[in-house]
Amino acid sequence: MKLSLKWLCDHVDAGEFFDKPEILSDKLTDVGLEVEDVIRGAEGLEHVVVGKITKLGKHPDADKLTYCDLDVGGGETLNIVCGAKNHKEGDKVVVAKVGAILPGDFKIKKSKIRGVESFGMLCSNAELGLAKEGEKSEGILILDKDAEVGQDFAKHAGLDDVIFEINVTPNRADCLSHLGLAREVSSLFKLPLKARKSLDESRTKKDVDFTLELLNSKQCPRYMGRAVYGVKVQESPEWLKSRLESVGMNSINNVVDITNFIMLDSGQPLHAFDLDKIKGNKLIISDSKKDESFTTLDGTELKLTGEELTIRNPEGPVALAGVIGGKNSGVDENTKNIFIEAAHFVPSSVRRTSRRFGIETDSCYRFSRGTDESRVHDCLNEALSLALDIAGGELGERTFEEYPDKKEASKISVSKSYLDDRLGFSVDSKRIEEIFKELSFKIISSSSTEWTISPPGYRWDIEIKEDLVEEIGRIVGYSSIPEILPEVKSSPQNDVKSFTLNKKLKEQMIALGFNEAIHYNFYHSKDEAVLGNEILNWLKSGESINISNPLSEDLAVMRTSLVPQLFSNYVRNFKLGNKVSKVFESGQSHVFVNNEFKESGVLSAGIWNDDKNKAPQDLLSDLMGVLESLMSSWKVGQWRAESIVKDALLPSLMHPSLAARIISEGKEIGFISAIHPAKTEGLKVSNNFAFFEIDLNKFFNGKPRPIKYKAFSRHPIVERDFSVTVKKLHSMDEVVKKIKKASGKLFVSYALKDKYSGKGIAEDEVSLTLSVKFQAEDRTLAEEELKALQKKVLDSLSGL
Amino acid sequence: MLSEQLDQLVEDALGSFKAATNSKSLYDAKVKYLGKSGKFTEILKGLGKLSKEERPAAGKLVNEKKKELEEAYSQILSNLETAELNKKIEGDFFNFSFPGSSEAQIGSRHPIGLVIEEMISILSRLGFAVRTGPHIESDEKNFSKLNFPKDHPARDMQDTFYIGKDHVLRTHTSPIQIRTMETEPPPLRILAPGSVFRCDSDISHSPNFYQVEGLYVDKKVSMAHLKGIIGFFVREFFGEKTKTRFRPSYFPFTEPSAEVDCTCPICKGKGCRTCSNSGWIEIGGCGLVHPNVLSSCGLDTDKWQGLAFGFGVERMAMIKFGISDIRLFNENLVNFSNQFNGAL
Repeated sequence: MKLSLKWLCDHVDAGEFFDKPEILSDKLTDVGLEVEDVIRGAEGLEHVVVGKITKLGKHPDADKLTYCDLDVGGGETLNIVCGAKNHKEGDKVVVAKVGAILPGDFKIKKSKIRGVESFGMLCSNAELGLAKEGEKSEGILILDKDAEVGQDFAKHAGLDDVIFEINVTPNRADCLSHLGLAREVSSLFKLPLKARKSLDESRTKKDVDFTLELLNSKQCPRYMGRAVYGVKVQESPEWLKSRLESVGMNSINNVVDITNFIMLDSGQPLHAFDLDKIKGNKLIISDSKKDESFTTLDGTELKLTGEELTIRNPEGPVALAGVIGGKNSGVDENTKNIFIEAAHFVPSSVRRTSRRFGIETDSCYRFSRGTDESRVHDCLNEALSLALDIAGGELGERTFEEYPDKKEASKISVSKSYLDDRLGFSVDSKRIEEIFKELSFKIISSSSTEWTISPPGYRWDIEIKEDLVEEIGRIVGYSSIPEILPEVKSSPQNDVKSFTLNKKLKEQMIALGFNEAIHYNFYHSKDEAVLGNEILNWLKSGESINISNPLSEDLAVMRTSLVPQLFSNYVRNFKLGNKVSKVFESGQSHVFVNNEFKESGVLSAGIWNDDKNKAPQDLLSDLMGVLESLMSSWKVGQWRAESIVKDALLPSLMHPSLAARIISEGKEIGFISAIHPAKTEGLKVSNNFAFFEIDLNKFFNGKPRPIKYKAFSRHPIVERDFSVTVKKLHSMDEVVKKIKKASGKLFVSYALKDKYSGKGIAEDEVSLTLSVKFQAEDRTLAEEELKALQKKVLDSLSGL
Repeated sequence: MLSEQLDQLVEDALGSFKAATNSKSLYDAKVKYLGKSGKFTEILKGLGKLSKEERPAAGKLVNEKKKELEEAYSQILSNLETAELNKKIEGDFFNFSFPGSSEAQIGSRHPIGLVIEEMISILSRLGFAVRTGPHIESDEKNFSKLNFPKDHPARDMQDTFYIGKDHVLRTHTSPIQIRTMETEPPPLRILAPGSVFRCDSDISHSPNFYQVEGLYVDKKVSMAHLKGIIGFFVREFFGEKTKTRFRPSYFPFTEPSAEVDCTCPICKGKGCRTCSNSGWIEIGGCGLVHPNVLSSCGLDTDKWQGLAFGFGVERMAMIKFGISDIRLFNENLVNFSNQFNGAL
C-alpha cells in the first residue's frame, strides 16, 4: 500500500512529518504496519527555486552562451551563464542555486565560465531528474507565467510529497486506504481526524424506471447505488490525476478516477455502470449461470461456472461482483448517465472468483481481505459528491439499497489479569482503557479489572480476547515486554529417534572424509527425473510423485532416489575442476505406494577420482570399505554385496558388470555401482565415479544395537599369509568359510593383502594373498601347532 | 706387583676402549682385554702360581678391576651407540612444509545441517526436543488446522506447491506442531526442523529451504516467555551482545504475532549492507498459539496455552557465515562445502 503524506493530510494534520518522515515510518513499523520504503519527492531539489529572467544578454566572449539576471525572490538577484537557447527575458525558469545537489550527485558551485562568474544553473527536465524514460530535454524548463518567484521548485511542481510503502498484513485490510492509515496515525499521535464534506442533496432529479434485486445476500450482505444524470466524461482535473499518479495509479477518465480515488481514500471499491447500457431497467445480484459467457472491461472472455456472484440485468451479467466490470456496461466518453455501485461482498466469494479466473484487481484485492460494511453509504456519498463536482450532472433522487441483515457489532470481554498474563507484564488499568478509546473501541462496560468492548466497523479483525492482547501490546509497544525464561516443568523429552540416528550416521560419513550435500527434494531437471524413475522401476518400490504446479517442468518430480542429483553434482564439480572428492547426502525419497505417499530416509554416497592409476573397481573397493565401516559400527551381523548379472531393468546410470545389491541380514537395503560409461560420454568428465544408496528405514530398523563387551585373549596374535587361486567371481565368503572351518576357534580375522590376475594365471582366475590372524584364548601358539594349522588351512583351500 | 700390573692393564684397556671410534673396534678391544683369551683371563690363569694364602686377595682384586673395566666398557659402548645412532639418523629428512596425505581429510557438514544442529543444541538446553514429519502434508495439517480457513487471504502469503488437490509440499514445519499436539499430551516443548517448500526462486528465495520451529505448550504462556526464549537463543547463536526486537505482525496461527529482528551481527547494529543500513535484521516470526489451533488439535484452551516461533535456517546461515546467494546451498560445490569442515 502506497501512502501519500499529502493525501494523508486531507484526513489528519500530519504536516509535521514532511520534514521528519522517519518519525512516522518508525512508529507505523512499531505498531505492525511495516514501512518498507520512504520515497521523498523533493530529494535532490533542495536550493532549487522558481526564478524570473529579468535581463538576458549575450556572453561577451562566447556566441553560444547567454548571460542572465535572475530574480529568485527575497530581493535577491543572481547572475548565471546559460548555454540554452529556448529562454527569453521575462520567462520563469528553474534555478539551481549554489549549494544544490541535483540528481546524479551533480553539485552546483560558484564558477567562472569563459571569464564570467556564474552563480547557479538554469535547469532542464533531465537535470532535475524529471525526464521520462527516452525523453530528450530540449533546452531548459520554462514554467507557467503564474509560477511564484522564489518558491521552492519542488513545492511549485507538487514534488514535495513523501510516499510511504507500507506492508499491510492480511488482518489489517482496514489500513489499505488513506483514511484507514489516518485513523491509525490519529490514534498514535493524538491528532484529530478531520470532518468529511457531506453530499449536497439539494438538487435531485427523478430517477428513470429502475429496480434493484438482491438474490444472494449471503455473499453480498449490502448493496447500494445511486444514479447521476447528464455527466460529462472527460479528463480528470490535475489535482485528481496527480493524487492517483502519486500512488502509482494511472488516470483513465473522471468517472473511473473518482471510483479509484474513493477506493484509495476510504478503502471501499466502487463501480460505475453506464446506466443506459443496463438492459431491462433492472440490476440483479445473483449467481452466474453455468457456461454463460462474460467479457470483462479489458476484453477478456470468460466462461462462467454458475458459482460466481454476478451483477446482472435480465440479459446477462454486467459485472463479476467485486472483481471486474463488464465490457457491456462500462463508462466511456459517450456515457451520459451513470449508476455508482457501493457494496459489501463477502471476501471468500470475491477471492474464489478472482482465483478461478486469475484476475487480480485493486478492487478484488481489497474485497478479498475485507471491507467496512458500515461505511458503504458514506463512501457512496463521497463518490457522488465528487462526481457532481467534477463530472457535473444531476443526482438521482433515490438511493437504492438492499441490506437485509445488518451486522451486529461484536462484543469482547477481557480482564486485566488475562492481558497481563499473556503479555507477561502489567499494564496500568487506566492505560488499557485509554488505548481502547484511542483505537475507537466502544467501551460497553468497564471496571478497573475487566472491560467489555465493541470494535468499530472497520476493525473486523478484532474477534477474540487474544486480539485485544495484541492491540494493547502493540500500542504500549512490544519493546516493553520483558524477557522471562519459562521454568522447565515438563518431564525431560528425547529427540525423535530417527533424527538422532541420522545425526550419528552423518557424523560418521564426515569422519570417513565425505562432504555432506543437500539437494532439493524434487529433481533439478527432467533428465534426473528419468534416471530416478528407472531406479524406482528397477526397485519396484512404487510410483513417482509429481508436483501439480511446479516452478518449471524441470522441477516437477519429487525425488525417489538421491543418486541422480549426486551424479549431477559430480559432473558440476568435475567441470569446475574438483576432480577428486567424496560426497554424501542423507535425505528423503518420496514414492506413491499402496495409495499412500511414502517418505523414507535414504543415504547416498558418491566418490570420484580422475587419477589415471585408479579404476572404477578401486572406487568400488573404497565404497565397500565405507559400507563395511558403517555395518560394523552399527553392529550389523551379516551383510554382503551381491553382484548383479544381466538385469534388463538395470537403471542406465549403473554399470552392467560393476553393480551389486546390498543385502543386510537377508534383506535387500540398497545398491552399489560404478557409473555406466555411456552416461559420462560427451560430458568431458571421467568414468571414475561410483556410488551407493541405502534405505535408512531398513538400515535403522532395530538400531542402535547395544554394544556388548567380549573378553579378549592376551596371548600374542600370529599372522600367516596364504596364497590361493580362485575363479574371478568366486565369493570371498566361501574362501573365508573354509579358513574358519580349518582353524576353528583360533581364527581371528583376515585381510586381503594382494590380488593378482594376468600372466601365469588362467584368464578367468585370480590369485589372492590373504593374511590371516590366529590367536588362542589360553596359550601362546607354539611353532609346531602353527605349522600344523597352516597346513590344514592350505589343504582346505586347495579344494577351491 | 700384581696390583701395579693390574692398574697398568686397566689403564691400557681404558685407553684402547676410548680410542675405539665405533662399536666394532670397541668390541675388538674388549675381546683383547676381557675375552676368553684376553689379558685378564691370562692374569686369572696366572693366579694359580700364587700361594694358597695370597690367592683369595689377588683373585678378589683381579675381579674388582675386571668389573671396573666392564662397567667402563658398557658406558663407553652406550655413548658410542648413541653417537652412532645420532649420526645414522642425522641424514633422515622430512619436509614438514609438504601437504599431509589426502587420505586423512575429514569431510564437511553442510552449513544448513550445522546451523540446524546448533539451533537444536541451544534450544535443547531449555528442554526442547526434536520432532519430525513428512514433506507431503494434507491441506488440512498444513493450513486448516493452523487456522487458515479456505479462501482466506493469508494463503496468499504462502505460495504453495500442490500434489493433487488435497496435498501440498508443506510450506512450513508447523504441521509437525499439529502432529505432536494431536498425539502427545501437554505440557510440550518441541522443535520442528526440516525442509519446507514455496513457489519462489531467486537470489534470496529457494523453492526448497529449511526451517526450525519451536512450540511450547503449558498452563501459562506469555509474550514475555517468547521474548525470553528467543532472546536467549539469539545471544547464544549470534553472540552475547546481540539484541532482539519484536515487531507486531500477523500470522493466522498466532495471536498476538510478532516478527523477530536482531541487531545485525555483521555491523553490530551500526548499519551495513547486510541490514540495509538499519542495524536490524529480520530472522523469524513468533507469537502465542491461536486458540483455534490448540482446539483443532483437541486441546482445551481454558487449560492450555502455547507459544510458537520459527526461523529460516538459510537466513541464519547466510548471516552467520556471510553467504550472499541462497543458491549456493544447493549447488554443493566442493569449493563451498570444504569451507564448512569445522566443528561449530
